[in-house]
Amino acid sequence: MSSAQVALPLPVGRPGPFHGLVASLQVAADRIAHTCLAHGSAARDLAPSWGGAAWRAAEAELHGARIGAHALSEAVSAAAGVLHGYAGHLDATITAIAGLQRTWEHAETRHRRLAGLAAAQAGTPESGPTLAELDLDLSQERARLRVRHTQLMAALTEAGAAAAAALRVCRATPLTAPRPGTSMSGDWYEGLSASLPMSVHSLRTVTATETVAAAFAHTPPLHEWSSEDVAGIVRLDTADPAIASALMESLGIDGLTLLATRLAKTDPQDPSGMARATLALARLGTALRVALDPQAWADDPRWVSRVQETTARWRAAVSEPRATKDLPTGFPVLAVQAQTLLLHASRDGGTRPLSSEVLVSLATAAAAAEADGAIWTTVPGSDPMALVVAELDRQAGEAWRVLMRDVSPEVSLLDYLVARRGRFLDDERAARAVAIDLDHLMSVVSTRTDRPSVQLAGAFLGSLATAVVTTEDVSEGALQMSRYLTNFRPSLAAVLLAHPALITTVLQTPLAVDSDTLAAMKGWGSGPVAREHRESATASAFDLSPPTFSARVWLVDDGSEPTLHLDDITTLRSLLGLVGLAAHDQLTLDGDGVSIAPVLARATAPDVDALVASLRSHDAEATRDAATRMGALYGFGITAAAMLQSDRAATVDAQIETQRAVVQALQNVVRLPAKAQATPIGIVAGLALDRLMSEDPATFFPSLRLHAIHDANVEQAGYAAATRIELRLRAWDVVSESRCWSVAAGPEAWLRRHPGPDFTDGAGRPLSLAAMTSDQRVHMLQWAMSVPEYGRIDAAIRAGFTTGQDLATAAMKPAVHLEQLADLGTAQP
Amino acid sequence: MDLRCDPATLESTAATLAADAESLRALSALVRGGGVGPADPSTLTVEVDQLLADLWACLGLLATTADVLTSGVGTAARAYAGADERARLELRSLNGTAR
Repeated sequence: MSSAQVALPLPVGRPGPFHGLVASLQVAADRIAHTCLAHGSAARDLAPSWGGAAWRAAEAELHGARIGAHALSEAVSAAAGVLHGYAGHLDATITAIAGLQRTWEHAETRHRRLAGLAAAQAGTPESGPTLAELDLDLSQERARLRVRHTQLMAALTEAGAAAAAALRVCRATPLTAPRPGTSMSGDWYEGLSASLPMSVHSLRTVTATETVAAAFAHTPPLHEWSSEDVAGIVRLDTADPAIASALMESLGIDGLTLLATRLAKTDPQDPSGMARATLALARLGTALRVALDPQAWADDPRWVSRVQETTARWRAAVSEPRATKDLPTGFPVLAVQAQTLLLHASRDGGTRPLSSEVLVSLATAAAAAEADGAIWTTVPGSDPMALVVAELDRQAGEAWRVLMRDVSPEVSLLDYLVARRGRFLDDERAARAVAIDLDHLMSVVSTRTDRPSVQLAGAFLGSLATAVVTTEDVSEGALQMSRYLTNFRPSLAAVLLAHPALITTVLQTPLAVDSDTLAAMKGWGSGPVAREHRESATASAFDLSPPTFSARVWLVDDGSEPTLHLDDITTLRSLLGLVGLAAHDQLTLDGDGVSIAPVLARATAPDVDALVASLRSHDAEATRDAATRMGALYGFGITAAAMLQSDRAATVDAQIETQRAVVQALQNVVRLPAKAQATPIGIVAGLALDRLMSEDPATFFPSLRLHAIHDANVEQAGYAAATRIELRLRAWDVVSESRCWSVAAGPEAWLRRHPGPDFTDGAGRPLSLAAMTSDQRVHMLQWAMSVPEYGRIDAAIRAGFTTGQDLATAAMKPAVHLEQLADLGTAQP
Repeated sequence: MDLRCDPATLESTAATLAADAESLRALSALVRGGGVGPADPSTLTVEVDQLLADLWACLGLLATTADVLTSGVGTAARAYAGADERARLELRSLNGTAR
């Protein structure tokens, strides 16, 4: 290498590859632009000849391809232009530097020649420039060339950086417009793939099939699998529809069932095996969820079609009553159980809720299996009904779509779960767990005001009424059913609070009921009417015939928010009994006013439990909710009862006015016969009568002095105030009982710092407020200021109480009028 | 099913799309071997490589699009021609409802 090449090196890179690439890119841009995808002729051809969802998807894909291909062609062309520019610059720079190198070499040659001459002529008169002068000249020329070289190289580097930046911009230019609500970023491929979903699916399907095949390489046949063999599955991203689909394709529904069954039987004493099995079940379950989800690749009609096929096959599999034969490990597992286990294991995987069709299939298969005596608790997480209700809880607004569907002829899922499941399911623990979840779901639904939700609440009330009425018997099964139904108390209270017209109706239900109807309800009567009723009730309870009372819950929709009415007195009584308001005699007036408080105390018992639990877990939101519910039920109950009392008092006053009018009319017509007036007795009697006739009738008929409504109002005001205080004291006692404070903030520590009357029970808890002396109470209240839960509960109860009062005040006219009560003797249950 | 369908047009479209797929795959192969070697600055080389990788992926994707559409249009053509009962059912399934 010459000194010139060393001193003035050529730049990195050669124009040839650049020019070659530019040519390739230009060819590519040109050919892309001339595909029929890019100029859209295919779309034009398709339009008049094809229709339907597949055509729309194809057209969308073509549209995306046309826009993308056209933009890609332009972008590639632009990139070629950039590279062409740089290649030219590189070419010119190389040429220029080659020129500098030649100049460098000439300078050196010239220097050598002149230096030799200078040496030869040294000391002579002809001597020219000295060697030192020649060296200086060479040095200056070299420096000049180096500067030029540096300038050229810097300019090229600058051009290269500019070209790189231009390519970056070129690649970042979106090929398609971003979809609404998305931001376009990344590179060409990312943008293009967003507009070509079906093509992306095809590419991913190919790679997913390979990935899944690799996961199952070197594994034993499925019936020999154990938790040792799941490593490949665990590594799969089964939330990816391509992987999920390939996995389902590879295993099949039966293979999935078999695998789930094997994993479910992992020895619980093997913690690492259990962990692996749980993880594998979650992965498989996620794949199943995705494979059953039409929305997973919603923009591809092929996927929707595939999901329909998968769902049909899956539905047939879960309805298969035979258990998987698994001789090595013993107990049988139903297909629906194995599938439930998978879906249960994957419920936290960030997937969408299961579709209505899937849930109805599960519930239908479960109902059939339960009729055959299925026991779900043998495999934790395998109860299909528990899964169905949990999934519905994720989409409460859509719950009606599933709960109102039949799971056996003429029996809706809701009716099955409320009125029937607790009656014959031997697995009481499983039944209760589902009932608690359903109760929560119905509490949520009851707060919704859309028509389907209100309709669902009505069906819920009807099912409850059916269940309660047909559980009047005292047999062992009925007692179990009563215990089962208590699970629905909180949601029933919530429904009643959400529909004031309903609770007002319930509170005004009279005591009297004819014995024939009652007997029929209980199934004990002997008369023809009773027999007919008994048969109806029995059929309803045991033969899964249509519910007797559901039809009597009316949905009233007057253009505003829909609400419910009940027109059946027996249904009202049944519901009243379930919520704890059954003792009608406690709603009548006695010496102390309306004794509704004990009834409300019973009705709010679940809220007290919830309150204690939330205080202990320091869940402020749950505490506030429970306290508000308590307050609302009290406020509502007291106010509604007061309205009842006022109605009755107004009737009494009206009767008194009538009596007074009768007496006054009598006064006007009563006259002593003339003959009698002449006798001494007659004279005395005449004086007395004159006096009587000049008096207010109320002075000699004490009953006419009564102003019932005034008295009632005074009584109600006092009673409402007293009840409110009683409720607050009760709630404070609940806080005290929960001991929700730290030891340092507890009453004993506080008492050591603040001497005074000891208000504790000796075990670190305040006594009940009712049991305290005034001094103890004052001292306790001072301490309670430092415990926020007391104040929080107080505020929530006050707010709830006011809400309840407002609800009662705003209650619509009751659906059952007093006049209808006379018809009770002929009322049909 | 839609009686206005034109199987011949669909078949022709499918054939054009298949030719597109072939052409795009050839381009993809052409691009894949490309490159400019080292350059100054080195970021230029990196950008060129990324551009080519991106272009290669896009060409593959567009080729797949052509394949997918060829298959779909071909299915529709056979279904509308009434020659292939399986294709007719497949299209009906894809469309969700029979037209």
